[in-house]
Amino acid sequence: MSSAKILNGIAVDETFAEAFPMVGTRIIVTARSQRWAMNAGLAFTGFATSVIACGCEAGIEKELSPDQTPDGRPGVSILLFAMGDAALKGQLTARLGQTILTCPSTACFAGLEQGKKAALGNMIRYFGDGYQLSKVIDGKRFWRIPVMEGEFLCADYTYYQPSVGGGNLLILADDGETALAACEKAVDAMRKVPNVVLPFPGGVVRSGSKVGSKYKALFASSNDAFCPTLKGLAHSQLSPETGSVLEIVIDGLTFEDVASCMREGIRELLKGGRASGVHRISAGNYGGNLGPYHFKLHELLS
Amino acid sequence: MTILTQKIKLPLRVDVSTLVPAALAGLSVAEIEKLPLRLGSQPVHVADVFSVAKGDGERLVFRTQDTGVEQIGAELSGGEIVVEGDAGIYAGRAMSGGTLRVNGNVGDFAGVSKSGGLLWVAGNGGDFVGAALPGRTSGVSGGAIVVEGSVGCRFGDRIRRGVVAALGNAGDFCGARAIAGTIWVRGQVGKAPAQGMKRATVLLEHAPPPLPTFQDCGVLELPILRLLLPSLDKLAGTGLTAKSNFRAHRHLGCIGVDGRGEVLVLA
Repeated sequence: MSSAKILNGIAVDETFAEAFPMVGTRIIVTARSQRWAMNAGLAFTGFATSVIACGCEAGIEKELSPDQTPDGRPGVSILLFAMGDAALKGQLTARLGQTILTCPSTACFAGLEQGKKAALGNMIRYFGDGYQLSKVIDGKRFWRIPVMEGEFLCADYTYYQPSVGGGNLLILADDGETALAACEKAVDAMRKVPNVVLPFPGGVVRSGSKVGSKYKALFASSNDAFCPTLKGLAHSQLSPETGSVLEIVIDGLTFEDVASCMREGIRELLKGGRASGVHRISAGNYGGNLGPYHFKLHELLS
Repeated sequence: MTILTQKIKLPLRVDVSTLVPAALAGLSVAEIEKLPLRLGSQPVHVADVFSVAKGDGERLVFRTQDTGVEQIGAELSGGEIVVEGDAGIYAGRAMSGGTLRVNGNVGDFAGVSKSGGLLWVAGNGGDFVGAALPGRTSGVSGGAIVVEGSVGCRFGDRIRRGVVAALGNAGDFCGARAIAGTIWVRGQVGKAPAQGMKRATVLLEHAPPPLPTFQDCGVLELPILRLLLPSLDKLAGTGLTAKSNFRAHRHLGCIGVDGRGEVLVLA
């Protein structure tokens, strides 16, 4: 690493996270209680960690109190990101139909009001088999779909916009225990930033990947240069003190959202200092040739 | 602001559908006075019926003496018209935008086949308020009508979208043949509400007379009321939401037309 900045005993590499254009949307899910809104939200955003195999990346952006939702009930706001229009629309309706329609007491609303349209109720209404009703209230159309519990209320459409996926931080620590503890604190701080989600389990990835593989069938494989068990290899990026590396991946509605989330994460990590077990912060990139969005760590701190 | 004050008692009805804010903008008092009108079948000028005055603002005000001034705000697409007094028949006919406020009563066919904007009536309405123009197969398709008093029969007949609200009572066949949309009556309704309805909502606060062509679904919690009631409160300044448990007695029909609409009686 050319010239790392040492802050609070932690080296911040002079490097950048390389991120990609995605499309992103937001939906609001409400329910009789926060518990059931969360049940729907967790199911909707389940198996949505990486577009490599999940079709989309999604997460719960925040919990909403009754005064923050369209129908005055507790809820969650969810962000979903995909690599293209068709993937986003397909994932949205498949997940809506299997995880929100099915979840007791939920209703589903648009979380963005402009951009391109993506169907919610406009697609899932056919579940009503002809008994569905639509209602236009204050210029917005909603669908009422009869279900065994009662009625599922769902907005006609939500909207989606160009977004940024794959912002990331690499946290290099003395061992797995300290790396994870530091990441937990960073994730808590980063999740307070609006318009972003950290799609991996608990916000943290332990198996960051590189592009390509020696096996022809695979297009991503283990990031061996950052694997501590391989740090004796010539191309290893790790110094002897590194015992474990974790990654936090950020998807956001805009470049600025991802940038401010990364900034919060770095600040939280630096706050813990060298005593936390973290000794280096880096980021993943592919040389800058693949993704148009570059988040330079030193610039984020300035 | 343009003020048109009715200065003669009308022997016949006068059609003022051409007198809307957009048409009068930029005209002088003298020019307005010379605009043509029809009194019955007879051509007259504005000055024959109204005295004209100008004031600040864009609003158009009619000061009426009787119900002979018809078609006030017909096909209104923007701006505001205020009627100080009663409006005759066809007030707000086919309006698509803007606001028409009538401080008195409106005659029959007020707001028929309107597609947008707000018609607000402080008094009562006649028959076929918020219904379809005679011969049309669908009526109101957008915007809102609020009558603070009571309305006659066939209120909201053939409505397709939007809201028609009577804060008093409504006569017979209220919401009949409704295609979709919302008909809201705070008081009592007459015979056969919602007869022949397809997919609309007739929202009531008092039990209707027997509904032989509707199927009783009992009292249910309806999530749509969490959106609909606040929207109606915002429109009419009522306090439905605060006192609601979002439950209503639902009657499904009309089975005479294989309808999927509903008569809801708030619980």
